[in-house]
Amino acid sequence: MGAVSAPGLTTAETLVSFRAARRQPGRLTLFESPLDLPVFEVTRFKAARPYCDGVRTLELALHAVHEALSDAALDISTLAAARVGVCLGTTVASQLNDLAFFRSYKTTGIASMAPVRRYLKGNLADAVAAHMGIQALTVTVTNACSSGADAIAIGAQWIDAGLCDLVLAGGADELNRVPLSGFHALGLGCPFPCMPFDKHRQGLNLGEGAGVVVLEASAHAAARGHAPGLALYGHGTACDAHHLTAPHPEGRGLRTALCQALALAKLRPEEIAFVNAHGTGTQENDLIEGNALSAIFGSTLSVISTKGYTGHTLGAAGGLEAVFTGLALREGWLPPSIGFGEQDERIPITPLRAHTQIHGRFAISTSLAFGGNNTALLMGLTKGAV
Amino acid sequence: MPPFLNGLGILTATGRGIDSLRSALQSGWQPPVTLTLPDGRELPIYPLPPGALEDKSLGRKVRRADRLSKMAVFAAADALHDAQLPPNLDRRRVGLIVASALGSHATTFQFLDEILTYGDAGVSPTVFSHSVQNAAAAYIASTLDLQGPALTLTQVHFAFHHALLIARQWLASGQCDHVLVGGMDELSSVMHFICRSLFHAPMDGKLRPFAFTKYPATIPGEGSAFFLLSLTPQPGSYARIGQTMIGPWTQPTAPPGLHLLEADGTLADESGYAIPAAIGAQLAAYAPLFGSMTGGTPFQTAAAALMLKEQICFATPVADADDALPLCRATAPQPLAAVHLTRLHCNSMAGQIQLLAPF
Repeated sequence: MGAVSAPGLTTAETLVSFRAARRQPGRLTLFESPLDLPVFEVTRFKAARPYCDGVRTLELALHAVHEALSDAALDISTLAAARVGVCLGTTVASQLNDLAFFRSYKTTGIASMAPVRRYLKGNLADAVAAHMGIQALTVTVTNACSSGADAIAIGAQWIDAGLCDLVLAGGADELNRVPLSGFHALGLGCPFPCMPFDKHRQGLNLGEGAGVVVLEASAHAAARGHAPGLALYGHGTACDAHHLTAPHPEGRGLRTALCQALALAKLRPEEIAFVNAHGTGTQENDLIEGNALSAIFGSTLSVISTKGYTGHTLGAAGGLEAVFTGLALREGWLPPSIGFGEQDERIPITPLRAHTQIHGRFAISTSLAFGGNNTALLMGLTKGAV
Repeated sequence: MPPFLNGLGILTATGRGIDSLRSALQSGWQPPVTLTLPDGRELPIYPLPPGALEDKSLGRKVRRADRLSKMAVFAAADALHDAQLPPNLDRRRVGLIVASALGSHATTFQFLDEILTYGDAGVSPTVFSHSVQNAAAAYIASTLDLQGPALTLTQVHFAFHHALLIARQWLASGQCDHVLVGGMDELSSVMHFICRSLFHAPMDGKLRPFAFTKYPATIPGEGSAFFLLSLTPQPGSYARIGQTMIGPWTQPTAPPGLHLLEADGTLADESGYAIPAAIGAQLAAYAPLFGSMTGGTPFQTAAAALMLKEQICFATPVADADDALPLCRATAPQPLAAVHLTRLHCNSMAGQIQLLAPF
């Protein structure tokens, strides 16, 4: 697993921030904007390359990929000899949203084609494979905020179908002016650090980062003598079929996705140690997600949202939160759901307020998205790792 | 088991629906529309015909939708209707995959225009939400009440091929009983400018897929095509989806009845198509009807599906080529067991789809 986001450039750094219950939202520095909203930038990542050359998302993804490969004890030669897939989710990197290009076109009628050519060659999954120097099955998922989780589910299906031995899966997104102004226009931007599931929550903060997991066919792992310790036991995906931006009032799609993941893993709800919720801090998401989780797992479920540490990283969120879920299982503890303080009486679950030991092998990470997408990833410690 | 293609919906410059597709394939090449751009340059294009996005039965459900979403919804609704699924269909088991090369670029440019015109704090929330790449899928799912998995893939190359692969997995794994899978791409004023800057247009308005030239001409097109895939056949099944491959081009194990080459001017150098053209199969290419689209495979797939269902070969619309090439030069009934589609990418990769007769 590999992760880069505001709480850390690596999973190890992230765990230090989680253990200290430390979050560091800040003012926007990556680009100019009149919007005074706190954001979660990966501040120490800035030096890599100039902003807005269109590769920050790619660099974040590659950073997480390299950590994930190291964590999985894989090198390029092993990858070169395997059937590899790269399945990544993103939002920003999938759009031809170069403001300088458009401004030039609009004001002068001419514009450099360099941003267009970069976009045409810049498909995230293709670019990651090319930078790694590997031939791979490559797909870029653009399912809005569930993209990273959906990419992991597709990667698992590639392995199940025998198409790949190894899949690099997850999501990546950089902070960008388009979603910042868009979420502000929707009235979803919080003017202070976000408060997922809290009674007084007022919206989300945007963040950036990348979270990548290495999915590996068990036979391939065994053949190279690798015991991963974690497995993806189930996944489920369902659409609300309700509204472009609002979740279904009963959380219909989320409930279906959770039930699918449990059924695929052949597990009962009480066997789930905790849920790493999507928990954005918006009124509607947290209300509907909290009620759907309670309906399936009961109100005593251990639940956290890590958005308080990372902000909402959009296409990266599903990948990052899958990594955080795996880290928690591996470490045996959960950080407090930072930002949560006062119970909302309309939400029957109570996110963790303190560092908590985990009792159990299995956990779920949920992702909800624009368009009514809902995805649940069910991960667990392998028997040998318990 | 290869899934069955049981429903088809299509919307292109040639019109909406299967009858329009058949009519276009029978009629052959038609000249493109020539635009005069703001800088005075001319650009031939194949746009949707006027009125193509008017639909009283679906109009209310998509009245707020952007153009791309409407294009997608109309073709998707037609495909679902065409498949005549039972009314007691379990809609949680119907998946949806939307593939696009460029996605919602027109609405994204509209949003950038909002930023420049009104400032970051004054943009339209509606325009923003429609600029998100999965807006079209959201409209399809809500309009048709599809509650299964919904997936949007946006990538310049082979998005539709990947969509077919994933649809097949969803069916094979039992996750879905049916998957509505399709692709769409649209034109816009900015895209006109981009196309005119990146490509050159043919003097006579004709794409020449069999020229195999290093400098192919391009005529941008737009449209949407959707397919309802199921593991079980229906009396009206069009085809079965055989192998879908993405990788170095490989010769089919047996020559198909018809080999569709997707040379349409979107590749910088189309000389590579000479190799797949030489496998000995009868050749056709229908891009001259629809225009050039990097994500154009769904339209060729629709043509192939119709031919397999109706056991007819439609004449390739622009047959300017070496006389030795075995082109399908006349429309005629013909027993067709398989149609093979080949699309090349500049990095030596190919997307190949094998369609088989349904029965």
